[in-house]
Amino acid sequence: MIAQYRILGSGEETALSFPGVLSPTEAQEPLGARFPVPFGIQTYDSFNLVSGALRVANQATDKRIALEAKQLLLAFLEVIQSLEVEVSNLPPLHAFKVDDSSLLIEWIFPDFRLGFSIEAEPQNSGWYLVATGNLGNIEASGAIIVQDRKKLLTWLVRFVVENS
Amino acid sequence: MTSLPNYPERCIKGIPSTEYLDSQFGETIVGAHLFQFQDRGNRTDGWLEESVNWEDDDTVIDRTLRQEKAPGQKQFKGGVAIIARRDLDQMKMSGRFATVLDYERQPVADNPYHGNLLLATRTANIRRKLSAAQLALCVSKILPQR
Repeated sequence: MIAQYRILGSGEETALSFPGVLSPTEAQEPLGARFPVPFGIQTYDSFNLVSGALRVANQATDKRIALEAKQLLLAFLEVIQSLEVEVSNLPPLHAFKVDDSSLLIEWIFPDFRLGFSIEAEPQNSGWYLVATGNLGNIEASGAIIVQDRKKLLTWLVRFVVENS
Repeated sequence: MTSLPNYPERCIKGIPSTEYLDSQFGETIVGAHLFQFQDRGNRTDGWLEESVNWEDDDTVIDRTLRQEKAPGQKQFKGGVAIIARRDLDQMKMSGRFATVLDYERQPVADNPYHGNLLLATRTANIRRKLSAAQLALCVSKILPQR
């Protein structure tokens, strides 16, 4: 499917194709309408951060989990773009299918790991941040509440930028 | 459990399949779900268990990699992850895990090195995942299956 995005500053519409990222149903509407991502000049670099995880998320057998995971990853992308994060040295996010049918999204660094567990029951989905002694043995976790998602992701991305 | 001091410096966690693995900057990484404790209902002492092998001698890694779940079928198709016991001990001493994380030896007929990482059954779901991530953070090395 083809999604239309405007590359900021270019003044022209540019078509980007993300094969396999969206289901045929989702592809019926422009991706930008569902996930309004203010793509900047680093579009492809930023997208590479989440593209592998998006592919795995798309393979989830539970379509609700797949959708929640994709929304989360694209919200991540939006936050990264809005904070104008330099992404070239950041590792990609990873997604794993878990035996209990949940989906685990992780961002893995030598001294800390960020994780999002996307569960069949949305109220059970949660996030965590754990760090080694080098970062004070930080341990934080909570629920993923859609209304607060951007605030949470902004906090987490800032943590990554400052500590990676 | 850990009241006895006879534990080696490292334990070996088998990786059941390559689906637990990914690569990052040319290195292999493992998803935290490798350490997600499952409630298999096989214990009644308030603990959940996840198998490991204790590295009592230098044959244990190779032995674990060769371990079979059926004749001719390797049990750990993804390889093994290695954790230093001092990292487990540090985790336990952090206070947050003092009463919910432990480890033990549990030799079985064909595997004298066998043991378990233990997590208290009462641990809530999100803390189970957090514990798994903390254990994944303790992984010092991943050796893929040959």
